[in-house]
Amino acid sequence: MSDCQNLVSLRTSEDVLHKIPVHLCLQMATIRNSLACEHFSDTDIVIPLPYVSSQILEFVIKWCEAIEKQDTELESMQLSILLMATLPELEESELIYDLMKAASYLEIKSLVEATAQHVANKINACNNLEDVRKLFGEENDLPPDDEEEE
Amino acid sequence: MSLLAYNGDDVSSSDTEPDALIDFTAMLMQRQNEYGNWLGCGGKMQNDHNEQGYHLEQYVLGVLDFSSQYGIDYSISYTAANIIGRPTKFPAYGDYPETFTMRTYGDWWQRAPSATREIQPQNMPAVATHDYIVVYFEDFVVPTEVAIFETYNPGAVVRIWAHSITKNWVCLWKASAEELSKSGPAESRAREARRFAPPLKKTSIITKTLRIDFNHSRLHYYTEVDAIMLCGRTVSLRRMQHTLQELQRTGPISCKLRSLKFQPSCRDNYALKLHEFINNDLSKFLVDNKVDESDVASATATTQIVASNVPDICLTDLPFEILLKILSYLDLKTLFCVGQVSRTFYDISTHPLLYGELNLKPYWQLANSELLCTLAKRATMLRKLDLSWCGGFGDVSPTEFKKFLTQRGDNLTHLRLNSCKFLNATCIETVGIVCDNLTELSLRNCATDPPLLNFSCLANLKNLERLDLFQTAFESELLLSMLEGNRKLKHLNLAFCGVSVNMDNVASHLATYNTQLISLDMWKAHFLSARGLQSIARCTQLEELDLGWCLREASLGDGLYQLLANCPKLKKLFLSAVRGTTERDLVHIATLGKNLEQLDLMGILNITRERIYDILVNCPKLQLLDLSFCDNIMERDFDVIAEWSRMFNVDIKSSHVPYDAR
Repeated sequence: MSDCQNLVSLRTSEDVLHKIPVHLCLQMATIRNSLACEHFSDTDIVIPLPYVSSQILEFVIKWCEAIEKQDTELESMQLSILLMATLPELEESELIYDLMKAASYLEIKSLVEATAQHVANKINACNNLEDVRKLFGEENDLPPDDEEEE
Repeated sequence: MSLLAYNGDDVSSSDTEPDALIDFTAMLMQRQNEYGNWLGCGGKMQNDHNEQGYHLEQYVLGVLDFSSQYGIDYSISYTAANIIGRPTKFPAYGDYPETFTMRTYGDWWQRAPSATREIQPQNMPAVATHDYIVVYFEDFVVPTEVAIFETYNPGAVVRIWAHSITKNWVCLWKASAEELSKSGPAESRAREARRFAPPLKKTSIITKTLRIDFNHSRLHYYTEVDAIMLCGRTVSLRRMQHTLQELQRTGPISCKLRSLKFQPSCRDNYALKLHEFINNDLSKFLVDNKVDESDVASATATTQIVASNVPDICLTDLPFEILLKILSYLDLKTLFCVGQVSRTFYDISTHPLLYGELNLKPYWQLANSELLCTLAKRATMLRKLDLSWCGGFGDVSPTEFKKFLTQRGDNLTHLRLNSCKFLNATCIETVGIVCDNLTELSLRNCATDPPLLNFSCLANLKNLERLDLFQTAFESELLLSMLEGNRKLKHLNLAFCGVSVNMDNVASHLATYNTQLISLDMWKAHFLSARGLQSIARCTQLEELDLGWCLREASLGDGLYQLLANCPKLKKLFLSAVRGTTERDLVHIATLGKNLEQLDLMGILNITRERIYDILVNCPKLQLLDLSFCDNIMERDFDVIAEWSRMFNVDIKSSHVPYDAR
């Protein structure tokens, strides 16, 4: 199709094809490795991503574009700030966990760090154990015992 | 007067668990004494406060510990001992040697080649502590005010701690990050002495020992403290004994409640309400608040409203590695808390991968043998350990430390034991025997009498790249054999090593065995001569060299020229008070110091305006130039120098109160 920019087709879990520029895909180690195993021909490569939905893939692409624009390597706190700036809709939603799983599956180191730091910040913002439980939907299934340590 | 006296109408079973009620009552009485009107019932409780105590103001009687000082121990200039007694200079403002000064200022040391990174950095608080001093006073008081007399560059105090007779440290005041950043750039702050007495937390602890924490990052130049005053109400011996006995008597519940600001609002029927609370809600309350040490600890519940009822995260979906990754960003204290959330969280939060690096320095006031024991169970993959500042006052036993190290120390690459008061001979031996994979060993401020480091076991370490012995007395022979054994040594700090070490010998060893050296700190070292300088010049990889107050007697001869010629990578060169520096040497600095970023020429007499200009023009990377006490520089030159500072974008220090007794 277009020959000025190589595109890679990614098939998401709903069987939808997304055409993504190669340079963005190279941030994803999983895809990078797949691409290395085949050579380009005129027809686009199609890589199946059964665990990633279209919505999440959109987010991932936005993230990769944001990272492309950075000239220095950022550390985790800065990455989490960038994440909220790029994808503000994640703040209130559960999708961040799907995004984390996708980042882990696609092996995008920067996104894994950003999301993990973001969730860690959320834990730090909790004032007590109940809030942390609510955050994760966890039940207290520990046996009551004496305070074992400080 | 007991609660039971109000039980006229109370039908509830005051017969059940009478012991519990009585204990609670006794504790309430204690609380009442401490907080007054606590129950809000306005009734005057009978108490044994006949001895009112009187207001007392006292100055420091002695110094127990300090992390660093500018001067050397036996000197009277710029040492910690100057903080004892009444202020000698206040309210005068200036750079006076009769004050307590620490070794560093600003962030220059963080920018130098020898800078290190914190272990487990997420543990560090927003406002970090760089240095501290622990002082004691004559009389026990309940503190009402602590005043710190700052006579030069005020603004570095960030925390005030008090050690109560119940053997725990209480933070009476701490600076917030916002306050610190609001204080504006260093240069614009008023140059006047300050009696700094911040508002203290209301407390009833009894103390005569304080610890002051400092943060230098916003300092323009050294900060200096003339004196510390502790004000408070005196306490009778009887009351002190009572407090200590209380502590022994009360169980963990009362202790916990004591540490919370427990203020139920009860007016009528308060006995009934309290009774209900004890019977129905107390256990839940304790479980919920057991590990919560945050400021929001009141029983009248926080008003944290969660946005929706649906949990934000579906935990069961997230794979283990991701949860581990999330937890890896948490500080140690939160990690322990989070382990109390559920079984799953307990399992993840105790995973050894989260304990590869351990830093207990920010928890110095809490660290004890039990904590070490607990951590030993989890830290099976420990690589980096920082126990700096921990274990003073006997909280960490040498036995526990040795056990910890024996269990977990064999894979350690980095070990920091700065100012660890519990270290003794056998501890150091254990380090030498067990931790043979160490690439970094830091034993700052371990000065003891007799000198600690005369134990040959340390010579067993052969992989060191960094050895930090700042302010630690040690034995020459051991040092020399360690130099011979550690050919890969890159960073060596021998500041304040004392009179027993001949630096010329050290230098010639370095020239033979440690030519990969990148940074060398010999601040206030003895017996370094031009010959030693020539030896150092053989370490051609040198990027940082601190020769402050060395070479006092000798002329440098060719030494400095050789050093500059052979070490082109030199970025930081400190020649504070190296009076043998000649004008020719200054010319060499200008011609050969192409990579110099930090240059300290404090107290060098031969420096003139022309030489300064030369250096500024020819050292394009220069960021810091210290010209303090260069008495040859005339008063009228300082305006020109300030102009050059702007022109060349170099931070020029020029403290010039005429004094030569540094």
